[in-house]
Amino acid sequence: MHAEFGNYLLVFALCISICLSVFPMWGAFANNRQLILSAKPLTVLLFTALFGSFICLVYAFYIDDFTIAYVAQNSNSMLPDRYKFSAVWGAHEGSFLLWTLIFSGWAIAVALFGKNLPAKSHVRVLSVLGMIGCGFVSFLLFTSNPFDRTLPFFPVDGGDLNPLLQDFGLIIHPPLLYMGYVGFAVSFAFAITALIEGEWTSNWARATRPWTIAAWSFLTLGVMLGSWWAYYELGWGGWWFWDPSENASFIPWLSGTALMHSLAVTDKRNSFKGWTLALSLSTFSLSLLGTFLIRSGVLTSVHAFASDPARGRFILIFLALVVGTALLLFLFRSSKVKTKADFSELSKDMFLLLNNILLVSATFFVLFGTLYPLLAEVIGKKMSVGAPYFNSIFPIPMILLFILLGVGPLLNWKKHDASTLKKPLIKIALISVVLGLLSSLIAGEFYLWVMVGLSLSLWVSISSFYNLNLMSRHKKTLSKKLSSLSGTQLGMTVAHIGVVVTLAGVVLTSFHSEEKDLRMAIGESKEIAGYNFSMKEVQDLTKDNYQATRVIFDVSRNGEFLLSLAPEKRFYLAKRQIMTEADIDAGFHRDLYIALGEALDNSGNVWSVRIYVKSFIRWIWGGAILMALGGFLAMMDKRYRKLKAENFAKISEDESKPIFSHPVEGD
Amino acid sequence: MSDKRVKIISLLLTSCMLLFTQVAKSTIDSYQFEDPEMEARFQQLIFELRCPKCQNQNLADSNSALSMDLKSIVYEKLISGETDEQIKSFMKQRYGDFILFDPEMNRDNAILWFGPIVFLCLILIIFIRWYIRNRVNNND
Repeated sequence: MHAEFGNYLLVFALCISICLSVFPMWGAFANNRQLILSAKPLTVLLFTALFGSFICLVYAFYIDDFTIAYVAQNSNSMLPDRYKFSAVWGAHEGSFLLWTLIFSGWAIAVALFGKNLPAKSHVRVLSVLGMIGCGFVSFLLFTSNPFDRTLPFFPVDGGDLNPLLQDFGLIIHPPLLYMGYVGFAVSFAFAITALIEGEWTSNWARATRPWTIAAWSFLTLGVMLGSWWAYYELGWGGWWFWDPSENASFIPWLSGTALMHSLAVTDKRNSFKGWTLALSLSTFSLSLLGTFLIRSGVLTSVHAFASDPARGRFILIFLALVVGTALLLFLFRSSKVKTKADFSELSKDMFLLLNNILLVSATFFVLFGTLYPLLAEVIGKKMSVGAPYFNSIFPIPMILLFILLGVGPLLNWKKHDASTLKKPLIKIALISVVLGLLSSLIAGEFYLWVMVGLSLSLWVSISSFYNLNLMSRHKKTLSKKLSSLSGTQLGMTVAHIGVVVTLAGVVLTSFHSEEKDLRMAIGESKEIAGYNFSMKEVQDLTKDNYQATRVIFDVSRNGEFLLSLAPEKRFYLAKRQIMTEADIDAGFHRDLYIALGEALDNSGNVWSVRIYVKSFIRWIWGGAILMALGGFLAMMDKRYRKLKAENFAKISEDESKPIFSHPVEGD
Repeated sequence: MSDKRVKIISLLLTSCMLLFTQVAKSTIDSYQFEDPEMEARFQQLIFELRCPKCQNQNLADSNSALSMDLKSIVYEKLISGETDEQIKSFMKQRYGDFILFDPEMNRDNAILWFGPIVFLCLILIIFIRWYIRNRVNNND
């Protein structure tokens, strides 16, 4: 029953999204009030239908309905309840339902909080979102329906959720990641609407900014959680592998970062309009491209969604439609007026433009490296482009970016007097190089990269604090200083410090971690990076859906007992899979990480073990949390709430009143 | 992939399967290095070599039978004094470019290595030209 109901709701959602993509847009052109007013209820209905469908799938997992193929493949009666819930998005079909649901969540947020747009533009935005919704829902219905049945011969028990995914990180990673991915659909829809109306003013940019920042913040958290999850769950101790699945989320993140910055210029200075529009369009297109790469299986990745050529074809066609329409609109509608460069070499405008050039190049670097194996295959060559390539090429734009980052925020728009900045900047540069050198010497063996990374981190953070002080120089006490700052100023500073916290974490982890693969027996102990690891005992335990062997290690330093770590080797019963569960002691300046390899004798008392002492690895994710926090702070800026429909150049005749008109039904 | 290569790989796979029990018991602990520099080279090599039958993992992270075998080959070759280049080209001969996560910088791959740099320089040049041409003089 619930399966049919969920399926009907999806069909209903498709009808609604077709209506949403046609009627309000039509109404806006034909000046039909009824049709214009249909946008909001249609959006609400779309969300409700998808939410209902999602609940049906959750329910199916909850009651172990193995007559549904998707449930049968990804759940098991022994699976703990919390994982039955997260198993809903544990594989392709369900995760795409979640994706579409989150998308409609963004649409409803635009319907409710987008009132500061002129009424007609508002419904056009919703209409464009409806068109994208059509694509998503039909993809679900026609290629990846989560409600397909196994009837009449349904299995007695399910195949179980992949043990790697039975984990807290997976419960929250996909929802946050998708919030980011599809969040860029909003800025895409804003850009398309602006192109349709032929008017792209600074107010448009201002209205787009909070949405873009919100999507970007969520994507930051999503990417960070993915990295953290890979670190503790895959048992390899790495935090980034430049795997296609990681790149698929990193590419739109980079492009979104560029977009955020160029929106600031368009908002404040009413310039770079074409560039900003192009970035809005391409950021969402890159999100879709990432989805295509991962879900179609054209690239081999550790992140294997069951691949199916039909799906790939569908997304590719959808992608071509989206990009094609956007490109055509852009070519024909974006103004041909030549923009004048009315800013000097030393100005915020200039630095933000350079920031954009570097970020767009970085986006291209990652995209190119990810796609290169595909291109090579076309000419019949099978090759790999992996972490060593990206590690050697990606720092080039990044180093330049960090150098600029120490200067850009201090500058005025349009023109800055060099003489006021020269002295403090030279001072900050000297301090950061000296401190960078010192701290890289203290950290242990000297590495040039560590020194460069730390100096750049210091350079940006000192200059950020200097800038905070400058911005609030008229206030005396610290609390007054802080409260005098706008959300944007504070958010920007926090996010910039976040980036360099991550940078410091990256260089320190990469160069100062100790990693050992060892053979150890009960009673033995090994000394690594000043920590003494001794293997104490082996325990066997039985849980709901797995059995495990646990090995207890005592960790001590200078003869003083610190803690015990208990990595496990688990045997999951349903799929008869063996998994390694690492045990980690997280710390501010180091993580202690133990993962079990294989038992090397029959008694189970001798094991191969991986022991890592990871320096400053938490900083990588801590920095990302700061970045997202900065984003949320910037989003709260009062400026965005002050923006009213009247501020837009053209004011539509009548504001939509909260009348619930008859929703227009499809067919 | 050519038929021949498939054959070679499947042959290798089967032999690895047969060897697996012994390999698993002997490999992980047997990588003892007296020279820390050689150990670093070993780590770097198994970081840069791809496990040919895994989804997307290097030898260091993969626990598959094949990559264990390849790791011990790398180890033996290192001990016997071969250079990194020799080991890599040996692997390349057996498995093709696919095994190198760090693509060689040669004529075929020139575009891979220099394309991005050219891209960056190109948009910088375009920008600078645009800036100089459209510059509004706002001298004070």
